[in-house]
Amino acid sequence: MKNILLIIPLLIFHLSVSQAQDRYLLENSFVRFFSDGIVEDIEATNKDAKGIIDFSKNEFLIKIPIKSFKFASALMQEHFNENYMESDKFPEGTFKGKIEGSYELGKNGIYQVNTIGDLTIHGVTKPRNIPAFIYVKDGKIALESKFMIRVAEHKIKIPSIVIRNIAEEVEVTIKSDLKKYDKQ
Amino acid sequence: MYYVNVKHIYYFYLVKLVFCIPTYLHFYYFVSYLLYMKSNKWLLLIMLILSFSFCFRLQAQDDLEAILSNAEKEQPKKKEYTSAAFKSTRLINLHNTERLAKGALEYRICHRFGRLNTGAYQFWGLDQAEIRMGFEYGVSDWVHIGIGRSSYQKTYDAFTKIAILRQSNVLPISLVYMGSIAVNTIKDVSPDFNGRLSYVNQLIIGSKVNSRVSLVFVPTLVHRNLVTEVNDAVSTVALGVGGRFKLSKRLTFNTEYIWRVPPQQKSLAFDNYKDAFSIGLDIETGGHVFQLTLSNSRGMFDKAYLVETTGAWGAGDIHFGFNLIRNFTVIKKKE
Repeated sequence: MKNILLIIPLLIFHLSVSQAQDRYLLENSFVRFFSDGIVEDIEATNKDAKGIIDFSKNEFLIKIPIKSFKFASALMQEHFNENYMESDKFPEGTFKGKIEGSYELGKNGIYQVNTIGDLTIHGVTKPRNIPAFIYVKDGKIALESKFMIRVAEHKIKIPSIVIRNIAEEVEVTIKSDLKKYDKQ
Repeated sequence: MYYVNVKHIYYFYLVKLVFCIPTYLHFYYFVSYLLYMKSNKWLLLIMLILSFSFCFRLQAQDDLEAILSNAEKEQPKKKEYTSAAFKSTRLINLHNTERLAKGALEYRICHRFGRLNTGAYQFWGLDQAEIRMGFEYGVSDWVHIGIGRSSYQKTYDAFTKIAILRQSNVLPISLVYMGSIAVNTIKDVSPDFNGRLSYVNQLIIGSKVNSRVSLVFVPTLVHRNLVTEVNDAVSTVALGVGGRFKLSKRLTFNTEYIWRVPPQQKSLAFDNYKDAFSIGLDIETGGHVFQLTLSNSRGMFDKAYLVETTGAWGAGDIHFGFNLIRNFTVIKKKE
């Protein structure tokens, strides 16, 4: 009997550890970037972002395939890939880091959190602190974030001939639903 | 029945060390050992099973990168067309596999000057310029049409390029059909309209080998309704080969060679014309592409450079020229 009493807390401990992996994948993701230029505004959208968030460890990883950005002008899209992002060489933009701040996945609400991590674009990694929102509604979880990227910080060169067309800072918006991922 | 030797626990401990299992698992082994000492083999077995299962959980991937790439593998692979095999839709004169995107309009103005070997009096050929200007349009991402007017024999030409296969992450080549028709309007050449027509059919097989190198291979059939010289064949088969090498983000080196398959009967007219060989640079500046060319051919529409090239490189009959291309987006893509 004594032994059984000993084993029950152990079992509970074991179960709690094994169920703590709260991993979610990005689903129906949407990424947009917008450059508010003097001559023209440039906008592109991307629906191919992938990512995983482990809420048990407050860790996340988001990957955005650069070639999947769609522009209104095909030529602009080609120049974006060929001349600015060099997407053959640097096919993905990534953001990897930790979530800070309090949220409850079990309770409806909008939670503002901070994400701290490494943002890699055009092969250049910068430590960033980016605010984000976690939306919880009836068990469904979504996230959203909007932030600025300084083009020069990531060594993306803009030739002087078009410098008036492209803003020094571009605004990036990312939105996604999250889907529970149970596999190992 | 469920006899477990103390040795097993040591073995287990060893396995644990080898696989670098975290320290809080020690707790399990400690309890297991206590249970063993108390000879409670039932509970000991449960403990060991629990530990094992825990072990396997921990051995499973813990790295988000690995988990994400595994999750992606479960998804069907997305088809992604290769883009920007060439900076322009022509290598130099020869059509390549590139086509205008849907809704893109292109204005193309080309010049070919006289021969470099004409010397200072003709300013190395710059005094004598031939011109072709044309408009081209991307009907869809698969179909490209264009019209043009050349000063050479005062010719109007029209062509269409249709993609049959497009290079992607699952297919290493592109296959494009190009068909063109040209009509010369020069006076006193042919009494009837039909005699002024020529046709070109091409299959363009191309591949972007890597981000720097793209190649094309172009089997061609040229048909002229009327040839002006005796013994010249109305139909000629030719093979074009060419490629580009990207020197920097905005600069590429291009070259092309068109080999005309000799006719079975010896033909003086055929021999008088030469195979066209050209080299060039593509320079891209924002919405423009400049193509600087050196060629023994002066023609800027299909029939002219394919079968009516007169210059010989060896003799210095080289023409400097350029293509200036301006691209406009007429219909914006909706995403």
